[in-house]
Amino acid sequence: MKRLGMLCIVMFIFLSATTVLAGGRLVVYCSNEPFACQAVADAFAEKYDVKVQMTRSGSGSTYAKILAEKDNPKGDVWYAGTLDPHSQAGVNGLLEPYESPMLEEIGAEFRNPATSKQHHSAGVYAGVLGYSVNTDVLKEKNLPMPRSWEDLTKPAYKGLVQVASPQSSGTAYTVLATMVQLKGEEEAFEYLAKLHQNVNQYTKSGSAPGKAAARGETMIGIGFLHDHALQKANGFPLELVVPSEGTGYEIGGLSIIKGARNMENAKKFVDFMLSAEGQEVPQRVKMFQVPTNINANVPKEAIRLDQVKLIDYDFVTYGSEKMRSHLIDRWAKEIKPIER
Amino acid sequence: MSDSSIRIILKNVSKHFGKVRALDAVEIEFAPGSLTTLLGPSGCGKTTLLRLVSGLEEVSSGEIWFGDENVTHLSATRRDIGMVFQSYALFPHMTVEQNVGYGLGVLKTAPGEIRDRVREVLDMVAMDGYQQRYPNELSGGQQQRVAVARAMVLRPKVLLFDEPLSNIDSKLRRSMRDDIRRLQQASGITAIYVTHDQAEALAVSDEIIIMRNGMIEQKGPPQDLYHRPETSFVANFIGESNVVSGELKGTGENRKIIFGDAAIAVNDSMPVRDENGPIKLSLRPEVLEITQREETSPPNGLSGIIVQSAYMGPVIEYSIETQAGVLFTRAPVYAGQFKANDEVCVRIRPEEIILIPENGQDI
Amino acid sequence: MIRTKTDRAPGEIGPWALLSWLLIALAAYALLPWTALEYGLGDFTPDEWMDALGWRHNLTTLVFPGLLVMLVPFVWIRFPARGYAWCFTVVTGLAIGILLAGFITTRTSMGLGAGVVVMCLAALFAIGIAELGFQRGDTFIAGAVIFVVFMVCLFIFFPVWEIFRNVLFDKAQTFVPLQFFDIVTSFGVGRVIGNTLLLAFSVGIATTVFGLIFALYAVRATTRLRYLIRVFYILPIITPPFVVGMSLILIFGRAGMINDGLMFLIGPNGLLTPEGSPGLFERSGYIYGFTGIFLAQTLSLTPISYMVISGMLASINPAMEEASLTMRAGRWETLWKVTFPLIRPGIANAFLLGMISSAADFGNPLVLGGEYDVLSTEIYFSIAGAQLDFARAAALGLILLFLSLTIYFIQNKWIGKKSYVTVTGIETSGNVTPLPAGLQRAMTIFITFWFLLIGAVYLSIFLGGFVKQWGADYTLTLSHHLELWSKGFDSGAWPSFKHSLLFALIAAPLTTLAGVLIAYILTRKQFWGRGIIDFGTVLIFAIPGTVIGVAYILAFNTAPIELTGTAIILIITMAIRAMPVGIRGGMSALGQISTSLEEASLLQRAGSLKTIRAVLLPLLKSTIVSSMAYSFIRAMTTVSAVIFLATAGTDVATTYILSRVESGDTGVAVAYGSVLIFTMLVFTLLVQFATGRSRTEKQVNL
Repeated sequence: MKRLGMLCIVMFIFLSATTVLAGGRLVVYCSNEPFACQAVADAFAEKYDVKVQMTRSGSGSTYAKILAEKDNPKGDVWYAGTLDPHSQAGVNGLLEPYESPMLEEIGAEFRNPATSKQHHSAGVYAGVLGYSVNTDVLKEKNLPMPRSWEDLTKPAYKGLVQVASPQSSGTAYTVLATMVQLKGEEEAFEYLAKLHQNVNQYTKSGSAPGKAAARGETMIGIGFLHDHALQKANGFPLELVVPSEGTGYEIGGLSIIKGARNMENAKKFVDFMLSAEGQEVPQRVKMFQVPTNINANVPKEAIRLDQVKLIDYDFVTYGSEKMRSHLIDRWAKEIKPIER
Repeated sequence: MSDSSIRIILKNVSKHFGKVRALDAVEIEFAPGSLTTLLGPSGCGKTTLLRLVSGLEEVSSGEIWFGDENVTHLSATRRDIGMVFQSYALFPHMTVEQNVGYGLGVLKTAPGEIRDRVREVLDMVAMDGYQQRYPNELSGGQQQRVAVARAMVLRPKVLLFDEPLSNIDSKLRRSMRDDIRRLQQASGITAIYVTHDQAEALAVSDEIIIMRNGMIEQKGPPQDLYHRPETSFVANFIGESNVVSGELKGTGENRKIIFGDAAIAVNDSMPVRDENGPIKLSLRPEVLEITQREETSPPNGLSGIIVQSAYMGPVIEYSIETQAGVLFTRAPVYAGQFKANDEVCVRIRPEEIILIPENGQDI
Repeated sequence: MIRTKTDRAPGEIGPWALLSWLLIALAAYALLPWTALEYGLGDFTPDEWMDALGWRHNLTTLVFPGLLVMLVPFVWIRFPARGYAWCFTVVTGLAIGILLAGFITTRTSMGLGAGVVVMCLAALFAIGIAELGFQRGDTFIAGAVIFVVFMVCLFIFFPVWEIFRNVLFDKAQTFVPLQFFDIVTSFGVGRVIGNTLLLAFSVGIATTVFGLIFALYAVRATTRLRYLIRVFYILPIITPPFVVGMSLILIFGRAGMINDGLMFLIGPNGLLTPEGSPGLFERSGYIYGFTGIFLAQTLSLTPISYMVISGMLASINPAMEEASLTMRAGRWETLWKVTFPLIRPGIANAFLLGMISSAADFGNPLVLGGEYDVLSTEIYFSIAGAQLDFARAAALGLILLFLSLTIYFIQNKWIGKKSYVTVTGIETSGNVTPLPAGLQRAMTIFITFWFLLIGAVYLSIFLGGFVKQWGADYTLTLSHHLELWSKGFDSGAWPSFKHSLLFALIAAPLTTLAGVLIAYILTRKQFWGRGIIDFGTVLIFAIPGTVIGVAYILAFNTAPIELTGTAIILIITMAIRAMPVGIRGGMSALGQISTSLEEASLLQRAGSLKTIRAVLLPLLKSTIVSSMAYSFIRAMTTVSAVIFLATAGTDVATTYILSRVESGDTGVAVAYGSVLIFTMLVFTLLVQFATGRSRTEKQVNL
C-alpha cells in the first residue's frame, strides 16, 4: 500500500515535469513583494525563454541563505530588497562584480552604490521614507495634517502613530538611521523617545503600518511611501507625506551571486532589470517604487525624487553591520521599554 | 490413535515474563493421540504452557519437540496446530463458512474443496446449515462448536483447548465436553486441554497434569489422581477433600493411624511408610458416614458436633466440628437428617482413607 | 498432513520477494538520479537527469550495485543454520552505513535513486534480521518495525537533534555549550517566555472553567440549549486556528464593529455626544496583544476542554451521586463533595491541555499579537524576519519543546494514574443528578452569551468576505470572492487550494496507515529497541507545530537530505502533524480487538501480513476511515509547521490566507477562510453521513 502511494507521488512528479528549455535556467532570489517577484520572473522568462525558479524571502533572510550556500551556491541572482544586505554580501565576497552595459541609463548615484565600490550591486529602484495619514480618521478627530517628523511627536497624535520595530524590520531601521543622520545620534534618540509616546504599536513587518493606516486601524503609518501609494491606488483615503525636514530613502539592490550556475542568464537578467522595460514591470502590479533608469516611465503615484527633500543617505556607514546592531540594540534597550 | 498422531515432548522448558517465572524447568511428554488436561488454579502456568506449545509464546529456555521435529523456534504459523480459544476468537466480520474455511483459503485450497471440507467438519460438530450466519447471530454453544470445527478443519498435528467451556452455561457444558472428547478420539489428534474445572478435567482426560506455581504437581490418569493424590494440594484440587493431620503409632498388629479421637488399624493394603510419626490423610466428603452419637464411639469413628447443615436437594452437606478439625461431609437425604448442635459420630472405612505421601508440611 | 517440513508458510519471504527487492534497488541505481537534481524533481532536463545518475556521477558508487549483485546468488542458495541470514544482515547493514556516511561526509544531497536503494536495503536488512530470529522470523513485522524506526529517526529524532545542534554549535561548527544561555539571557527572551507562560496559564484556567461549565450543562442541565453544546465541539476542528483571531479584529479591532459603534454613538461628533464636547470615547486597540490572543484562544480551545471534562463527567456512576443524595446531602453539596472530586483528573487534564494548546498556538498570536511576543511567533520571526537567526530560533524552539514535553509527561504519568473513573463494565442505572436550579439559570445566561459571541465570530467571517472594506466601506460586493476564484485555475486562490487538497489527500492515508502501524506495534509487539518508537510517539504527540517547522527547516535545508521547497516536505509535515489522530484511533480500536483473533488467524497458517489484511483491517475499517477524514481536516487547517516550509510554488490555503492577512487584505483573507471552513464543514458532514454516526466526539476526546 505504502509503496504504491510512494510510487504514485513519484509518477505524479515525473508527469508534471517539464523538460524542454531553449534558453536554460535562472534561479532568482527575490526580496520584493511576492506579486512583484512573480511579475518580474514571468516577464524575464517570457522574453528570453528561460526557465525561472524564484524563491522569495526578505533581504535579511536572503543574505543569510546566500551566506549559508557559499560553498555550493544554489541561487544565480538576487533582486530587490534594501541595499544594506547587498552591500554586506559584496564586502564578504559573496557576489560577482558585473558592470552592465545598461548602467549608462542609470542615475549616477545608483550605478555603484554598494560599500565595496566594485560593482557588486546596482540600484534597481529607489523608495522614499515618509508617512501616510488616513484622512477619514483625521477628519473624524478634527486634527491638523502633520507635515514634518517633528509634528509626529505632538501630544495630539498620541496613540495614532504606527511604525515597525527595527528589531524585525529593515524599513524601521532606515527610519532609525535617517533620524540619526538628520539630527545626530543623541538628539535622534531623544526624538524617538518622544515619538514612542505617540506610537500605538510597533509592528513586525515594515509594510504593516501603511496597511493599518489604509484600514483606519491607525491614523498615521510610517514606512516607505511606495507601499502606501499602493494602498492609495487601491482607493483608501490616504495622504502621503514626505516630511519637510528631509527624509531618507532606500535603494533596491540587484546583484549576481558569486559562483552562479547560470552566469550568462544572470547577466541577462541584470541587464533586463536595469533596462527601462524591466523597471516598468513592477508598475504593472502596482509597485510604485521610483525607477533608477532615467528613461523609464515614473508612475504617477510614485514620489518623484527631484521634487522632495532627500538627505544625503550614507549607505556605507549606516549599512555596516556594526552601526546597525549598535543602533538597534540602543533602540531596544532605551526606547522600547519606556512606559507609555 | 491414528498413524499420524504425534508425541509432544517438553524438555526442561522455562518461561519468564520479566522477573516473573511463569514456568520452571518443566519436563512432560504427551502421548500420541491422547487428550491431556492441564489443571490448576489461575496463575499456575497452565495457559502459559499451552501457549508455549502453540508457538504464540516463545520459551525462555528448553526445547519443544513434536515427534522427532524440534519446533522450539518455529512460529505458531508453522507449527501445524489447531486451537480453541476461551473467547472462541471467531472473526466477527466473517460468516461461519468463511471462519471455518479461512485457513483452507490461506493454503490456497480450491473454493469447491473448501466448501466441502467446511460442510464435513461442521457436520461433525452438528453445525451444518449455519454456514451463512455471522458469529453474533449464534449462541455461545454454537459459537464454540464453530470454533472447534475451525480448529480441526486443517487436520492439525496438535489440538489445543484453552478453557473452551468456561463461557458456556453449566447445562450445555456437559454435552459440549462429551462432544469434544468424542471428536478428539475419532480424529486421534494429540490434544492438550486447559481448564480450572476439575470435574471437566476428570470427564474428558486420558491424563491430567496438575500444575502449581509454574511446576508440575502430579501427572496421571484421572483415577490415579483422585484416589492416590501425592500432595494435599492435589487432594484438595481433584474432587473435594478434608485433609487432616494424624500420627502413625505402634508396631506390628497394633500399628494404628491416630487422628482426633479415631484410631484406625493399619492393614496391608494401605501404602504406609515404615517409620512412625505425623502423617496427612485425605477424607472425601462423600465417604464420611454420619450416625447418631452412641455411648461408646467405635474406634474408627470421630465424635463431633454439627456446626452447619445445608440442604442441597439429593444430598445434605454438613460441617462437623471434630477433634481432627472441621470436616465437610456430604450425605444422602435418606441417611437421615441432623440439625445444628446435634452430637454425631463420623465413621470412615479404612479402605476409603487416602494417605498423602508428602511429609505433612503444607496443607 | 497439509504440508511438508520444507514448505514455506504463507506470507513468509520467498525467492521472488528477495529478488524483486534486489532488482528494484539495481533498477533504481541504474535509472534514477543518485544525487539530488539541481533544480528538484519537479523540474529537470534530460541532461541533468543523466548527470545525476550514480554510475555517471561517481564511479565509487558502483560499490552498491556490487554489493547487491553479490547477494543475488543467496536468493537461491540456502546456507545451513544462520549463515544465510547473517549474509543479508551484514551486507545490507554495511551498505546502508556506507551509503549514508558517503552522503554525509561529502555533503552531497541524496537523490531519488539513493533513497529507493536505501529503502530496498532496509527491506533486505529486515529480511535478514527476521531470519536471525527478530520478531520470531516474521518478515513483515520485522520490516514494519524497521520502517517505523527509520521514519521516526528521520523525521522526528534527526530534526530535533538539528535543533540541539544549532544551539550547541555555532556557524563554524565549533562547540559552544553556553550559546543557549547567551540567547536565553539576551535582551527580550525572558519577557517572551514570561508572556508565553502567563498566556498559557490564563488560557488554561479560562478554558477549564468554561469547559467545566459547558460540560456540566451538557450532561446535567434540563434545557434544550444543551443539545446545541453537543454540536459546537466540531467548530474548532474545522476552523483554521487563526481565523478566530481574524474575526476578532473584525469585531473588536480599532476599525471593528464595536469601536465603530461606540464611536458612532459617543465618540467625538457622535450621535449622543453633546455639541462641542470632546466625546466620551476614543478608538482603542485593546484587542491587539494579550486580551485578543487570550480571547481568541479561549474561544477556540474551550470546546476541547469541554470534551475532556464531559467525557469524564459522563462516566461517573450516577449511583454515587444518588448515594450522596440519600445521605441527606443537597445538590450543591453533592456537586462539591462528590462530583468535583471525581472529575478532578479530568479538570487537571483539561487545564494542561489548554495550557499546551495555548503555548503551541501560532496563528492567533501572529494575527493578534501586536507587541505581545510569545515563543511561537518569536521562533517564526527569528527565521522569517530580518535576521534569519537559526540559533535563536532553535533555542526558543527548544524551550517550547521542553515546556510541552513537561506538560505532556505530567498529563500522562501523574494524572493518568490518578483517575477515579468508575468503569466497572456493569451497566449503570439511575438518573443523573440535575444541577441546582440557580446554577443552571446562571449557566444558561452565560452560555447564551457565549453562543452569541461565537455566532458573531462566524458571521463576521462569512460577511467579511462580502463587504468591500470592513470598518470603512460596508458596501456589499463579490469582488473578494471573484478575485480569489474567478481568475482561472492558475491564479488567485486556486493554486494554494489545489495544493492544500492534493497534499492533504496524499498525507491523510499515509499518516493514517503509519499511525495505525505504530499503534499496532505499540499495542502488540515487544522487542528490543521498542523504546525508540515509544519516545518517538511521545514527541509526535507533544511537539508543537512551530518547533516541527523550525526543526524541518534546519534538518532538510541542506545535504544530505534536501527537501525544503518541495511538495514532499509539506506532505510529510502534514502527515506528522496529523499522526496523533491515527495513533490514538488505532490504539483505542486495537485495544478493543482481542489478540486471540490474531492468534486464531496465525494458527490457521496465515502469516502476519495476511492476518492484518484479513482480520485486523476489516475490523479497523471505521477507525481508519474516520482517522483519514480527521487527518485530512488537520492537514488542511494546519498552519504553524507548514508556514516555515511553504514556498511560492507550494503555498497552501492556510499560508496563502496568512500572507493576505499580513499584507492587509482582510476581506480576501476572510473570504477564503469562510470558503475553507465551509468546505471542511461539508466534508465533515459527508463523512459522518457515510460512516453512519458521529465519531468526532471520540476522536477529539481520545
